[in-house]
Amino acid sequence: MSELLNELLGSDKTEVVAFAQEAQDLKKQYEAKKLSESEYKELLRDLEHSKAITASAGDLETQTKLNGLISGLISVASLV
Amino acid sequence: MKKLFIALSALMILNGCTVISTVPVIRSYFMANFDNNEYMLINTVRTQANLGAAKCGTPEVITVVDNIYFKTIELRNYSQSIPHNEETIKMSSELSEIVKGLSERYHGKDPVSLNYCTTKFGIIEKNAVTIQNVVGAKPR
Repeated sequence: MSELLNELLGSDKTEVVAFAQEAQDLKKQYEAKKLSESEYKELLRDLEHSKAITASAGDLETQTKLNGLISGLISVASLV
Repeated sequence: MKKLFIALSALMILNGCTVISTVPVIRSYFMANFDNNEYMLINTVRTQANLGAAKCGTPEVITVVDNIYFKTIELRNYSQSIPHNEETIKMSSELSEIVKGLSERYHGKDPVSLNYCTTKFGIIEKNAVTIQNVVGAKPR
């Protein structure tokens, strides 16, 4: 598990590194007994929820850009 | 009609000329616009998470937890009734799952650790910022 975590921390994708850093931070807190087992598990599940939020945010950002493009093209077409 | 045809033709060219690949374009054309109430709700969740972390370890934290849970559910319910709003519905549902855990823990029997509390508020705030940025950028 530690090897996989180190591999992810060395990724060239910033979002993967950020995800791995958060997981590593939680692991350290759990090992230092600053989090109970159930708290640790819940916070790890939260990382999954965060990943889903980031993905949907990316989709919405793309949609907004496309919407701007369409509106721009329609405006240009209106001038033709 | 001719103008619309020109605009759609240009979009189809940009999307590779296939009917299927135009679907995201069509979806984006009809996407939900910026909504003041939606934006206000996510801003409230963000602000409460931002200020709530300082209350960890004090009895006042329970009030913040209850408020943030209420506002998160309010955001989820509000966004669900807006047509063509799938991404925001998904994000608000995921956020409500995160906050639900916080609420359940503070209303449960087991003690809540200080690290859990501060980390949880940090996670909620980070995700609320992500949502706020994209909700705030929706077309006017």
